Amino acid sequence: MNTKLEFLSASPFFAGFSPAKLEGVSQRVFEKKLARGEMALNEGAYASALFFVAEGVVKLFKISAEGKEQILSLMRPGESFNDVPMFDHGPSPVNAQALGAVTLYGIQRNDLEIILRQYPEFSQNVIQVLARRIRYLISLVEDLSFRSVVSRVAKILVENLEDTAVPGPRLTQRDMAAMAGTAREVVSRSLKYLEDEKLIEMRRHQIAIRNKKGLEQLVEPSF
Amino acid sequence: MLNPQIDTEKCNGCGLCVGVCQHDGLELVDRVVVFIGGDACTWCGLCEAVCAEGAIICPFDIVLDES
Repeated sequence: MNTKLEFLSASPFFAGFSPAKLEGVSQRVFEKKLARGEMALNEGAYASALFFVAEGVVKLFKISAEGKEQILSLMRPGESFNDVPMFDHGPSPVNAQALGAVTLYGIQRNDLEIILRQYPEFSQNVIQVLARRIRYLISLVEDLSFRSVVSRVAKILVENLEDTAVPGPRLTQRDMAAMAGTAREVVSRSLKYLEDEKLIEMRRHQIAIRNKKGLEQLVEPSF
Repeated sequence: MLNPQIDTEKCNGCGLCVGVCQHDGLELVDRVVVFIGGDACTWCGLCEAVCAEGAIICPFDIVLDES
């Protein structure tokens, strides 16, 4: 089985598809490579494809009028982006940038429409994917509204803990600030606090989680 | 040993990072920053913090070590 087929079979968009149907879909998938820092999407622009991250990590973010960056999510292998504009025909609501070397798989809008017509189960899968997206955005609103910055930073560390199977994204303090919706200096102070509490240890190019349970307790919402 | 990542395309040679590095780990060569710090770098991130161009970054791996 080729890589593209394996990839599609694991995607929630194509859950329940037979190998023959996956083969049909894979004919419509193109590959795109991005270097670190390269943009995959620009906010307000019209992109004509649905993208899946095959390798690497893509940062989805918005920039405020004052130039402040808010990271909405980090998309890892298997995850998709630009799905909302594909279905509402609007401009991209976010910017998407490669955090390192990235390989994307894409499906052009006209091909998506063909897949939608050919395979009714695809519509159900799309609804599930978009519903999950809404659930995630509600959780982001909750984080920004109700959690303290220390709690938000703790949550970022727990959620981005490197998995042995899939390498996690390498995050700068500026990235963490953009994810937590705060200033870099505040993240720096929060990391210092977590280190003083012996929950983490700051090492050269590593943040080592020394007490995962303790960190997870901080993640509980503080209403 | 990993070093801070420098994007020479973005670096405008302002030298702010060279000035803030407490370990003399950076210098400008032909108006582009170069890392010379070796093991002395503590990954404090001050260079990253002052760089308006985002040309130098100190990214972290997040790992579990409860030993």
